[in-house]
Amino acid sequence: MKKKLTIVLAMFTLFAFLTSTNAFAHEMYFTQSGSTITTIPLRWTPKNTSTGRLKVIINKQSLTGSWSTYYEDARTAWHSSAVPAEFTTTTTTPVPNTYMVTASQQYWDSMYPDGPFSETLGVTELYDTNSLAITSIATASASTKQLKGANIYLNPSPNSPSAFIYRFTMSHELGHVLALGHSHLPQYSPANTSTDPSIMSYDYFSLGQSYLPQNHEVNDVKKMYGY
Amino acid sequence: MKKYILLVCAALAVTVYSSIELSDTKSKAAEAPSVKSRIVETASGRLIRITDPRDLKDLVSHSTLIVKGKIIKTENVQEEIQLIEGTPERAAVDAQGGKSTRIRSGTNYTISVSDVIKGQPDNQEITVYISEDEISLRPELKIGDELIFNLAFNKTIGRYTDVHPSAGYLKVNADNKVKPMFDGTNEISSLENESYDEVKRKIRDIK
Repeated sequence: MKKKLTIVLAMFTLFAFLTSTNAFAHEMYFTQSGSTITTIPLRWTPKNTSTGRLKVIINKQSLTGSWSTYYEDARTAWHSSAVPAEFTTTTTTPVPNTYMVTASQQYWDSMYPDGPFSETLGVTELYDTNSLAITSIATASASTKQLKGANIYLNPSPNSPSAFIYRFTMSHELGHVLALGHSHLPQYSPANTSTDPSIMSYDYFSLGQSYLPQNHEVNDVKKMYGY
Repeated sequence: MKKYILLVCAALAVTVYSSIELSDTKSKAAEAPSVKSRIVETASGRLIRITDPRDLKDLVSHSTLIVKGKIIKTENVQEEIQLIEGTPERAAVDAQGGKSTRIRSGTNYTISVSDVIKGQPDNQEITVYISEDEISLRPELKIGDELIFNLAFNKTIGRYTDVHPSAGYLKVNADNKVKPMFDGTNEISSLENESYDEVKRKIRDIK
């Protein structure tokens, strides 16, 4: 009897371990058919050959206004976190793989014709190893799935956002650079904002608590990249 | 004696003035509820901040055109946007070796206007452009639906856009009763089941 109980307990523990691990790792692009989620795993490839950490080298020369003011906070938030990745700033050497820019007003107005009560704050484009810009499920499917770079475009004239919104927007977009997806979607293992806070979740965003990468992001990156 | 009277008068004046200032501040604070905003993001990674209107006045004042009309045509459109040389976005795309065009995806809704509440449309038929958001930000809009549309003209694309993804729409049912698509403020949601004429009067009273 005791032996049977031990086996059942061991199996339960193994099951709990496996399912809890699988609850992490929200991919950026996925398709859904009924309750079945099929992910399109994209992976950031630049790495520091010495440390093995993912390497995000940012050119921020075209950042202006408050985006520029709060950029360093967002970058440091990732660079100083336990996520196995480094986020550094450069101009030409080493060659940047990520460009953060405040877009031109004309482009923004043409691309995102929002109304007076809504505004697009930022957009991240990922680039695969063939320089294909990944902006949709279709382009993600057609890509090599191996990422060599990213561009983050930011609103040239946001309507009086707080410092928190500037920091969170950039920090959230930097999460997308590592191909992290949203963690709040009800159909895709949503993260609980109390027990599993995540800056890739809008629900957590709306609480206004922190723009720093959380354990959720650390675990996602470790699982996705095998650290 | 004169000195004391003056002092008392001065003290009274200060007290009365302060109380007027305070009561004014309080009534202003009570009239202006805090603005709610939320962040959403489309499946393709576009992060959007949506601010809700404080009240009907706020919604109306941001709308340059308010009409009652019927959707008579919908058309999914994919329009190519050229990234202009010398702009930051073009430089970033060139640095990645990417294509210098982007596709703007959305839907053109043709509205047959039956009544104008605010503003002046150029034609009896107008086009409202809605960007694709992939996350159903807006109510379902079908051919044949009749609504009050709260719109703003976007000069860059040469079409109207809605002022708010849900507050911008008030459905007008077959029995001529109004159903707001937004329940974020009591004043707007309380318009539910009011007659179209009554809602039109309230909007006109504001402007």
